[in-house]
Amino acid sequence: MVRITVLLLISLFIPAFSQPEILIKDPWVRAVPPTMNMTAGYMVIENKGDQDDYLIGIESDISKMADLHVTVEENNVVKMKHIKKLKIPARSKVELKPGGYHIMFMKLNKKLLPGKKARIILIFEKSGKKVVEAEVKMSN
Amino acid sequence: MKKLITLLSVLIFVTLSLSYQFYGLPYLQKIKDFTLTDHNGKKVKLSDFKDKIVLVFFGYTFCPDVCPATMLRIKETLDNLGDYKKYVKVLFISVDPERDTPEKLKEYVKFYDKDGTIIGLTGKPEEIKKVAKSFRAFYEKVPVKDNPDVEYLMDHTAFIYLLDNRGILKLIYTPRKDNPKRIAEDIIQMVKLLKMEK
Repeated sequence: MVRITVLLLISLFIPAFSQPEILIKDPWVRAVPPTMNMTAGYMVIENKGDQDDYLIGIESDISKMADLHVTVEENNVVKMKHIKKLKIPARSKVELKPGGYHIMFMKLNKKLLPGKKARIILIFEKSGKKVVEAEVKMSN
Repeated sequence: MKKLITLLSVLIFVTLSLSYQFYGLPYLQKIKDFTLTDHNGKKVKLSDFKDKIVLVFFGYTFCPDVCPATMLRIKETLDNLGDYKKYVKVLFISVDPERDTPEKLKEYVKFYDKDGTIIGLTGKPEEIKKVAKSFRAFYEKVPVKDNPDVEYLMDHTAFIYLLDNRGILKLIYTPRKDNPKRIAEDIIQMVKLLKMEK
């Protein structure tokens, strides 16, 4: 009986050990001229867990809409592609950076001058919502 | 004696210019003079800047990732020039003239430059097309189907072109090779080579 209880207890804990564990590092949003109604956001998304996860949605307090895009260069022409779902592999990280993956904020509802803050909500398939505060800055 | 000194200084100059390896990709092409509308609504010609080193970049203000990154690099290049900044003009040519009005361009360039070194240029679509062709720059409208607010984005080449004081395209910087410090060094070398200092 004791054995069964122990086994049951262990089995209860197993899923807890096999999970994605998402960490967001260095989030920032590009400061843009006050007339612009779009900008981009960047960060490092790390998955310390042992299961893959997927970024499936983005919300923010600086824009009406936010989508994930990737900038690609084909024959010296830069293009942007919409990414619906971004895989964050287990025990790995994905970097969102200028000229690569980026969050595109559209229909900005405030002026994004250097020093301001942006609240970004990242929605993951398994880990749910993660809220980060990003600094608005002129950087590359 | 005087002749010898002159000869020596010329020799030193030639040796120096030969020893400097430009960071940008070398190119040699005369750019045909063109007229576009600047961010104050005034017509300007490329030949108006014939006493300057001219940096040219084709972009658009709705561009959220690549163009602001390049504009910031151009700003950092200018910041690295010190006293040599006065020998330079930057032309930001819009590939989206339908949305980029002079007013919009004015706000845009002002954000990266306060003293009028960067000039935003727009014009009729056919005028822009002609200018882009002489630089072999490419751009194309791409509709954004799932987002009516954005309507469209532009695919485009994102090089920085360096023209000398005679409108000759001399160097090209690609998005992967556009270190602001190195571009500034190229500009300073170019100013010295062309003996632009008075």
